[in-house]
Amino acid sequence: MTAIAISGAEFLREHLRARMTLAMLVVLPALFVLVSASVLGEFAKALGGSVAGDSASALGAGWAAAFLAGALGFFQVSSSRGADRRLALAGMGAVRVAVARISASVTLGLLISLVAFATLLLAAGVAHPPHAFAAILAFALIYIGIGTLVGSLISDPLEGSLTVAFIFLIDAFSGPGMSGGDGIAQLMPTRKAADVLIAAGAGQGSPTGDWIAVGLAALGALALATIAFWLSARSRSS
Amino acid sequence: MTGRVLTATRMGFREQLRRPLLIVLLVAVPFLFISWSIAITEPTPRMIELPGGEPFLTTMKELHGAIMVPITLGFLAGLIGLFTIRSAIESDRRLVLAGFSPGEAIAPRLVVVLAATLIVLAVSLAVMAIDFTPASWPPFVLGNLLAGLTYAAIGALAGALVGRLGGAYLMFFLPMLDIGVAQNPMFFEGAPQGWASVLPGYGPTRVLVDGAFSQGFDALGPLLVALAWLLGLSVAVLVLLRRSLGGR
Repeated sequence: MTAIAISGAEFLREHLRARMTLAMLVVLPALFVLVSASVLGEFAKALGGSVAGDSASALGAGWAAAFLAGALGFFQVSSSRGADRRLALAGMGAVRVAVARISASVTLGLLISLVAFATLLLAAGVAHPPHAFAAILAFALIYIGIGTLVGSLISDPLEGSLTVAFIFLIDAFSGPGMSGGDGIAQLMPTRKAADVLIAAGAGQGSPTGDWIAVGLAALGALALATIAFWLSARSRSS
Repeated sequence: MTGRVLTATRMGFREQLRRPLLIVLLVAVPFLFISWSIAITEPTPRMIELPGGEPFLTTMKELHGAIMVPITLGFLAGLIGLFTIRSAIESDRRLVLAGFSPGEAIAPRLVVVLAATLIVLAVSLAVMAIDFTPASWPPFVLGNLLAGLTYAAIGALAGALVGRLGGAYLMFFLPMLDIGVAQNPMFFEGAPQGWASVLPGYGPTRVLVDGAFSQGFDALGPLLVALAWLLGLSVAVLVLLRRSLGGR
């Protein structure tokens, strides 16, 4: 347990050592939420969507957290594959390396979500803050899973970044309040988190079924991410 | 161009072609992004102000079609510039140690970035042309090319200054915030105001908006601003790369 905690803290420090990276993690979601708060409602209207006002602003916070978390998840795997394998071989084992990595990723996802949520709260106000924060965090966790999975399959940073962006664009464009309605749009990874976030922005609660779906999506994504970290830390011969 | 620069350029292209997924994504992302954006936008009327100052009545659908091209280009060219130049910084020092001058090492990378930007531009314009035809193609293409090259240079600078991860974070958001929001006539009346007019996307976007909706050309001022941005960024990229590769 101590080894996992120490390694997790080291992984976190490794990520935040570059001050510019830390600055980007804090500034970019805040900037995106601030700027998009005033235009997302109009954008949704142009697309024939129904989301408006505070709900649209809230959705922007979810998107900001998701996009950053996706990149974070991808680079956590793609840039650490060699080091993690050596660490596992040196005695820590692939499972503990994977748990330490996922702990660091979730902590960073929490940081991104907090920044996006705080900006939303200050810039636009949120009628249902706990629900909004939970939904924004779900966006981040789901995209940590997606980014990590992409990172375990694709090692090239340009191809990986574009793949994460490609998935995000399909997800965001087919989301509720934008063009998305029925059919395959219902199966998109952040569909239910977006429903909860939009409802929270409008000051409404969400049905229990939506919360269960959000929880399952976030937990499923984290499980996938853990498996991806484990696979990349595992020795090739084992 | 010397023989060894040609060889390095050929190797640079071969490196890209070894990644078939990249080629697929450079076509699929613009195709999906632009065609979907146009398809889902309502043709509601929208009054905009052209760079010459005259009002022009268009629709959100047409506006979205036109503006998605530079957003896509800025996003993709920025990431291409970022990772190509990061790769140069990480590996081309060896070329310099082996006898290449920094300029000879840099040139092939820049040719690759330019070629990739042109491919994305061509795909994006082709996809857009299915649903929307600009009033005047030359300024529309020029504005988009300037947007792509400007963001390729910003990506290259980001790679050199804030690293791979910080650069990726930046290039995920900056083109969206600049071209997608601040310069986007879908979200404001008249011309971009205040902070929007000092962003790198201002000049290229005004030039392409002029080309999209006007037969004449009234965007000389924005064109000069765009060229100044591109020149300044290009000089900064060259200086940084020469320093990174050990040149003076």
